[in-house]
Amino acid sequence: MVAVALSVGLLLADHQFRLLDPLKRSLDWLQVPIHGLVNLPGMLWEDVGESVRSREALEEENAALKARLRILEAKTERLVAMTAEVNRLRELLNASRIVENPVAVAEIIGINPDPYLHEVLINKGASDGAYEGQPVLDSSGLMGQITFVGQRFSRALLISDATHAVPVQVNRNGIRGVLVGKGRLDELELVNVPQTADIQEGDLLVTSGLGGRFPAGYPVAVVSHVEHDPSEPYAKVTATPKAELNRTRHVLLVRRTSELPGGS
Amino acid sequence: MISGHGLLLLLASLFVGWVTAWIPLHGLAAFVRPDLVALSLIYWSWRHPERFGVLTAWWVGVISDLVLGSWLGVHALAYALMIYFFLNIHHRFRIYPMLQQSVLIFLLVGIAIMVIHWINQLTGVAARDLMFMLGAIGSALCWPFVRYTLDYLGGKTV
Repeated sequence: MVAVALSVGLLLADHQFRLLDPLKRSLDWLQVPIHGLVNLPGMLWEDVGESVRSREALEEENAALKARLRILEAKTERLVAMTAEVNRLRELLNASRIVENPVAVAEIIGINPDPYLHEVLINKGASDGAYEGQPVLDSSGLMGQITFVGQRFSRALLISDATHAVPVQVNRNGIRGVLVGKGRLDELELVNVPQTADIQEGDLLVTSGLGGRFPAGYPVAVVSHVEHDPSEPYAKVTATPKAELNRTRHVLLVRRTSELPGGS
Repeated sequence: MISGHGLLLLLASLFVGWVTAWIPLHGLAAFVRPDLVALSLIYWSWRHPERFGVLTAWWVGVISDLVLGSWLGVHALAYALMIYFFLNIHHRFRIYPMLQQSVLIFLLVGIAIMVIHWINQLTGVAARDLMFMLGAIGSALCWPFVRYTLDYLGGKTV
């Protein structure tokens, strides 16, 4: 009975009143040995793989990476010029400037064992400048946002979780909507889309920046299916996430900038 | 009091449980994943009911909550209730053959999983099906393994 009362007390203090966050944050180190051990076989495997690769293979990979880097650098140079031009034009319209969002690289070190929860553990915490609500990206698109920040670790909710929603717009024509997770890694749903909205299969959905949580312009998903049922008030639009939600190991955390990024 | 060896074994069994909880699995395996923390708790209160009881289970549950990132108190409540029910039947459990023990383990871990599920429902994360109950089957299948390993390592006399 004592234990039940204590548990209920803890639950209320934690869930209803959020009193225990500092305690949870300071007991973060409990995770260190567990994740060290869980990730040990994978890291050993990687190490062995690295050390037995031949010199030629490494040189080849190096050359390929250098070539890719050069291409990306050239593209970035053009992007800088274009951003400057866009900002000049936006100034003419009295709109705010587009700012570059600095990013930090982090690693996914754990996946929440609850199969109904799409949540990952990231090896950056408050001491690395992570903050609650920070957007998490991989190299191809938006992955989710940080929901709890510990001292050394933080937990991030993926866009595919059933409780997650992100404001997006169609890249082609700017139609706005809200993309919600369905608890499935490969499917998101664009909700409350009017039957007459011009959305087609293959349309790219990017963050709209509305709501102020996600910076505008990051790719989120590609429309995979549009269904117009005249008996329904809204069109049924499903989309596939761009980010590789179940394969990525390295993620990017978007740093906070002083002004609201991209909003106008 | 518990000996140094016993304490080490207890902590090791719980640690292995938490590590297994975080091993990435997907598909059906993620649902069947046995709850080794619950199994070691049952083991220890079966072999030494005078030392490990509801409060031990509660504390271990609190640490589980911290480790797994669930709301504080979820696993604490589930494990405390599970061990409470277990201690009510532990005399019978002692004389049961392995198969019947496993059936009881299924029920006990099932109760713990149900409690966790109810609290998750109250706090917003609802399961869409009953697949989560497979964890109780996984745990029941693992019971003989846990029991023999801990016995072999000297869990009977601590």
